[in-house]
Amino acid sequence: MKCNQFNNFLFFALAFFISSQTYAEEWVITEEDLFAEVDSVSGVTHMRQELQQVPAAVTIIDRRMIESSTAVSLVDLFRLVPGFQVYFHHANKPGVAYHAPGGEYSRRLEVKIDGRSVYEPLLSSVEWNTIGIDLDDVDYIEIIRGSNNSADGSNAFLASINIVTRSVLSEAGTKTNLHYGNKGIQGGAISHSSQVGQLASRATLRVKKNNGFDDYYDEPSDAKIEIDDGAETFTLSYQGLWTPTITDSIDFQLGIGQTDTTIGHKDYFERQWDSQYQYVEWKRIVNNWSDFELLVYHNSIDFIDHARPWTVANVLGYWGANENGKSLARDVVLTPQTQAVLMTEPNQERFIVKPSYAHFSDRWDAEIRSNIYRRDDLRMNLGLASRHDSLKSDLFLGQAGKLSQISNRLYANAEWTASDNLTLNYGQILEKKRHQASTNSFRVAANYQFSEQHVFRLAASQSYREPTILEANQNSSYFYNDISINTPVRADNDIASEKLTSHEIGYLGSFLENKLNFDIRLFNEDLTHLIAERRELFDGDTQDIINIIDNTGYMTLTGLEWQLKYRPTNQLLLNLNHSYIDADGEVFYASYIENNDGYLQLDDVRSINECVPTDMINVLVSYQADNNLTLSGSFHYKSGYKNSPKYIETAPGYSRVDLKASKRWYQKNNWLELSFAVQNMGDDYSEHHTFNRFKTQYIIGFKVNSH
Amino acid sequence: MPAKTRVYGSSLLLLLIFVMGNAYSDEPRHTLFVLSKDKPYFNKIVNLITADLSSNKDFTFSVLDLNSQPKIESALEDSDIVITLGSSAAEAMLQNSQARPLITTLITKSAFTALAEEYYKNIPKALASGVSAILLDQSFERRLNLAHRLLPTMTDVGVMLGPLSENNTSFYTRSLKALNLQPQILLIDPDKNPIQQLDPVITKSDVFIPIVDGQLINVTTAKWILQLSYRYRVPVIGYSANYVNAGALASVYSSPENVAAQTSDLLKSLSDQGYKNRLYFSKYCTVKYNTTVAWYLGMKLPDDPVNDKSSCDL
Repeated sequence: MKCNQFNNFLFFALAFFISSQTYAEEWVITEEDLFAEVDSVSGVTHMRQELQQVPAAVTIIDRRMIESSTAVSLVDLFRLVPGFQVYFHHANKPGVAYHAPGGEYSRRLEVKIDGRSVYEPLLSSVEWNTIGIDLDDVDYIEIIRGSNNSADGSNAFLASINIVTRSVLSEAGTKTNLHYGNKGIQGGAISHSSQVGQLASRATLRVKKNNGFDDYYDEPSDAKIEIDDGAETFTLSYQGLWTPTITDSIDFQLGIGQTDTTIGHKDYFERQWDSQYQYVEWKRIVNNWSDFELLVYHNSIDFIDHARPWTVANVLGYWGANENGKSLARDVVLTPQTQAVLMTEPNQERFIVKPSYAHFSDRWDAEIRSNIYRRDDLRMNLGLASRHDSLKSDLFLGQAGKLSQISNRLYANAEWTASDNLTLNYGQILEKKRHQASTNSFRVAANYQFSEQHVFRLAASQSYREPTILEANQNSSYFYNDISINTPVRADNDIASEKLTSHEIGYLGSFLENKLNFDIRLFNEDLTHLIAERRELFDGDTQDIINIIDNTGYMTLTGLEWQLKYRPTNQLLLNLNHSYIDADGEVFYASYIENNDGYLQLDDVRSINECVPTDMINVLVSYQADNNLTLSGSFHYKSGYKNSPKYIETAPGYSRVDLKASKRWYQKNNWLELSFAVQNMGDDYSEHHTFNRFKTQYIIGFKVNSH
Repeated sequence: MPAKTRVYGSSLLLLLIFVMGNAYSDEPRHTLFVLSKDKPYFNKIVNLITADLSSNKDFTFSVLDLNSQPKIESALEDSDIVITLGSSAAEAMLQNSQARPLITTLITKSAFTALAEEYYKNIPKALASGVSAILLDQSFERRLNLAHRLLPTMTDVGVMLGPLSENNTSFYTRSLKALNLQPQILLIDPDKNPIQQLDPVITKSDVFIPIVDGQLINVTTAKWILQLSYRYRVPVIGYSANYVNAGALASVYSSPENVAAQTSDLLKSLSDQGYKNRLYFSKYCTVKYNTTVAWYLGMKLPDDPVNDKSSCDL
């Protein structure tokens, strides 16, 4: 009740702030008008802040860096960010993680496109193949290294990525892009931007495909592992901008997409994605000292997983008891009751594991926020948001109906310029799921500016990541009528939020008249109640082990990361980064230990110290000649790591060199570009799994832009 | 007595008082800085001035901001020169006849004109009363000069004026025509679609120059100006460092160092016989470039982009 009263109070406070703002009538141009900041906001707090003032470490990948890079896909760009791991569970299931182990589903990172979260609640991760944008669509990417819960909510647990797409205003005419490479890489996109009456618009159609990694031949046995991880993606998107007055702007975006790929590794089953989204944002700059935004979006994603079917006859044949009371599965045998029921089934070809399963996820999110800059030394914002998630998955939820969840969040961020040199930031978010206890995350930071060029930052935060709707409710079961024949995974009944306590010291330096920028972050991140799967012995019809999603681990991450950007002229660009991470943690892997005699009732607690690459280095050099020929080269090193506590082997470290050459020809506002990129020059290496061999990749690109 | 004669008379009297004051006193003159706000930008200017004059025994200094009103009253009694930073401080001191001689800095021409008209009826009377102003505005010519250096072949220059600056339309038109440039003038209407207004003007322009207006106009139009400038690959010449940070190709503006340097120069010249109370236009300027925008536009920037003195020469 008290919590509700508090919510109400803040809601009305926000409403009051917004409603009390009116146009100021100023008829003289003052120094304040000259010094006014241009309307742009930082994703760190959603307020106008310069890098020297923000309470977190930030990497900005701008258009120049994108075009100067050797990246051929969006995820390649995140190698330019210290502390970020880019890996490929398979060729078309990339993962991006910050500090903590990534795994098949990287769940501790928020990714937003123009303010719309693409974190997928059904899989508790970001499915990069379905997000519907590519390198050409991006204006810049702002990456907040460190928890950003206090502005972005629960999913921004360890870091937050804010992808800002190119404005519909920044382009005109038709742009065509084609690329072709080995490994079946083919793709093309066409987009058209125009101004029709009051409305600025852009529509983009994109298709792309590739064959994924090559088949793998094990050494020394030469056994072949067939890799079937290709993908085909089609997306169609529309962006519109309407600015009825100078103070109001309304952005809206629509998109649909379809991706055919596979899941799993070693066994590759087809997965077909269908996605769509709608997004609208209304922004009003109310007066000289306040603005207000309303964002509403809807993401819908459904996919069909194909599986190896099991019929009643198959189940009886494999798990049914023979004359000795044993089954082909040896120690696991159907109970007499289940066997009797299955034997009475008249259609023995009836499916227990169906050939395919459909899953559906739907998210509605509405957010209202206001930034207030009334006092010179104080900026603040207030935001209120509500989210409705619903899932439908017979398989994942073990039920036919739809499962819904409403969560609300209320946040405030404040920046106080305490003195000429000292800026203090505080942010807090209260998140509340209906019928559940609330969580309260905060961040506090002090930025001390020794001089205009040197800033030190001390920051601490406490954040919670609430279990997603699937993590809290998963009950993957295969049924025969009401009898659960097999339950590979279910959620624990009492799963708690993950908790992060983070401390950092940061330094931001600018040298050589801002041509050289250096940023270093020393961090200590304590993660507890980590959500993962533990294994328990289970007396089931077709199983003796069950996976349970639960709070199973803890981890302390200590280390440092730095980045250096050097842009002496508009021709040369140098970008370096390095991260060193010392991970110390354990997961409760299982409540048994398996040996030759069977299972021993002993806790199997495993170290996850080696599940994070200790060192990662990235170097990018790019030079643009006067004739618009750009030559770029990058080097990336990642030290060895275990891709899961499950495995004893460590995936070896690797280094790769990528090169790119591009040349652009201009004729007034029209241009044509040819490019040639080589990814991983030289020997191939293992990407995340031993059998994912990343061989040299060649891609030829062709772009035309005509006004 | 005609007004003109009265003004000259008053000025002469003030000058005489100054000269005599200096002639008969070896005491250092106490300079009081009055700041509109206790903000880093203001403090930086004061620190630069005091550092520049630290070896000069003619001056002693004290600093107060408008939040310390009671202290200002007593400080004025002990002050020989008052320097204000910002329009609020200027207004407070213009109301106080004790604050003379008064140098108002960090003030726009628009603000000083309004204050002079409010408290003295007009600028000449304000000057005659012992007030000088060092204006923050950079001249349009300097911005044109910068644009011309970056785009020597430009012919069409887009200029956006808002409700507060539209009275000067003819000035901008004349300035451009005098240089054989074709003006593309836009008077922005805040109640209409800004993109529909900006688009046809930017399309026709080789370079676009927004004129500073009220903060709301400046803030709200900048985003659209910059985005349309990328669409048509038309460079924008801004009026502040913030404009360059946001995506203008270049800006020419008065930095704290520029304001401090001109104020120091003026202080040193106070004892000169030729000193006159007057409106001092910006003597110095700073030029800032955005290398990423230059890269996008495929333009080569001058080698010494930060303090490009030649851009300030007319």
